[in-house]
Amino acid sequence: MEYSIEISGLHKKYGSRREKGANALNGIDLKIEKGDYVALCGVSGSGKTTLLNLIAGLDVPTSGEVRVDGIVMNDLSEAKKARVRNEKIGFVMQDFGLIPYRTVYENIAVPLYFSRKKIEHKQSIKKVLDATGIRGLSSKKVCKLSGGEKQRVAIARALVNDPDIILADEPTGALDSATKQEIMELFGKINGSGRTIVVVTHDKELADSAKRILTLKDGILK
Amino acid sequence: MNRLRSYGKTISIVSLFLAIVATVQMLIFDDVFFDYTKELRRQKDKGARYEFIIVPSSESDFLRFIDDMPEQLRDYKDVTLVGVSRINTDKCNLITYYPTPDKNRSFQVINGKSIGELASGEIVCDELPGNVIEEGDKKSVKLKDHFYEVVGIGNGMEIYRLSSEGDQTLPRIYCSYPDYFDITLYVYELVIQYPEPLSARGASELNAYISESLGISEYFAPEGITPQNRERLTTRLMFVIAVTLFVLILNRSIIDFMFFKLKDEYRIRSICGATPARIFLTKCRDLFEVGIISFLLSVLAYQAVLATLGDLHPLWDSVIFIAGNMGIYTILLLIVSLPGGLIWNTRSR
Repeated sequence: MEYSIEISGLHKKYGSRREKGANALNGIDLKIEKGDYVALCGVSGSGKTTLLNLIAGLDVPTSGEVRVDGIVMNDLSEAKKARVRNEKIGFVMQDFGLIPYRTVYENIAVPLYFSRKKIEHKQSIKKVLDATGIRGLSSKKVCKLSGGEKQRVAIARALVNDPDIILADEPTGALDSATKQEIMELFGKINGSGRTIVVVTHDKELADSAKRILTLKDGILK
Repeated sequence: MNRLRSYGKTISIVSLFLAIVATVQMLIFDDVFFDYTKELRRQKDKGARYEFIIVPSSESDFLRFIDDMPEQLRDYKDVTLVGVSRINTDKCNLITYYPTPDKNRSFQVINGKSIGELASGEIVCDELPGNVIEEGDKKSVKLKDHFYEVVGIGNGMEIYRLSSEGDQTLPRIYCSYPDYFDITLYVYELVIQYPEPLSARGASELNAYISESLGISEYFAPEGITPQNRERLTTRLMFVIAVTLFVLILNRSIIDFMFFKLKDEYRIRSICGATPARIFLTKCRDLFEVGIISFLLSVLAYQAVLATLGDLHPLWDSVIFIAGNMGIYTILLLIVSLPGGLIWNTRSR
């Protein structure tokens, strides 16, 4: 069995010991197979986003281990984590995480600037523009797009480097129901292409569209 | 601000280009190595001589002024310095200084009376040093090339007046400075201000007189990085930096841009796989760009202040001055932005 993500004994505590900081995660053990589609659910403050950030190497665990495609993220330097993030992970955020005054094309191209892969930029961007159905928006500034369009741009950017894993944090949180439906379909297609998806959501519909639903409560997986 | 951000690169490139051009111009073609004594020599060769009347705030200031005076000028025999040391707004002492043939300094300190009397060309003192020439009832004193005629006696002191028999062709360059700080700038401000207490003929008349005497249409203050004007340059630079900080603090858009929008952008870049080194370089670049933008704003503010004070340079001079300073500022920014980016990088982790 090949795993995209392997997590064992993961703890995350915020604040110093002296301050007796809050435990965001209390010993998470999780294995996500390649091509899986997992929805992480739970109430606010249950540790969903923390877990996602730890998988992406954006945060450092207090203890435990995170492996992405067999690579132990904890052992890596910040530069190497950035490289793993660039090559293996696509990230989709609730607030889209786009540079508003740049065009759609420029936003999608951002991961390519940091990539070491020899990828033909124009071709890759064209491919993901087509895949996400936003080809006509290529030269538009992001600040002029609707919420749904912005999320598509964010997904296109997450896909442009051809990563194996897509991490999405509340990707439909800021969208109306019709647009949400479109994004859900898009995730289904992406998963269909063999990519692993981990999506953090409050949305039952989106969670139901995943292959597995995991619930986090008080930093523990139920 | 977003638009400004997207134009940041262009602004930086244009500014850098301007700065390089202006710095090169200042360094090579302009006045950095300006030899003010050369101008005096050139005029001397034409037959001109100089008398500087300077108004320091005290006698000790005048002596310090002499001490700090460039060697060439101090030993320049055709320059006579007449110092009017101000005791208060009305009373003054007259000090003359001129190099003697053996290059020893010669000071003459004359306890004088009111500046008003000096303004009319009269000097009141116990005894004016010099060769006394007596012709019948007429008594005059030759001090260097000046002939001072005794026109009366008051309070036990003689009243002298610059005689019409003296060398009236001697050009006089008036220079006034209120305190010692400005003394170093005297070379550049020789004719800028006709001292108020001595302004009987008025500034325009004086300028005409100087122009005619020196044979030059306009006496101008040389700009450039000479030791003498470095202090002024530093002062201006400090002012520009102060205004920059002021603009930075006041301009919420810049604050917002620097600390929120950019921060967000760094997060996005980091998520997209930018290494810390790349983020650091981006921060340096952004600091540099914002620095250039704020600098442009600050020079505008600076020019506005100058315009208000009535000391605005001609347009081209301003452009050269600003761009020249920008060259220095660019170097400063580069020096500041690198560790600045590093600190920012460390703190934002």
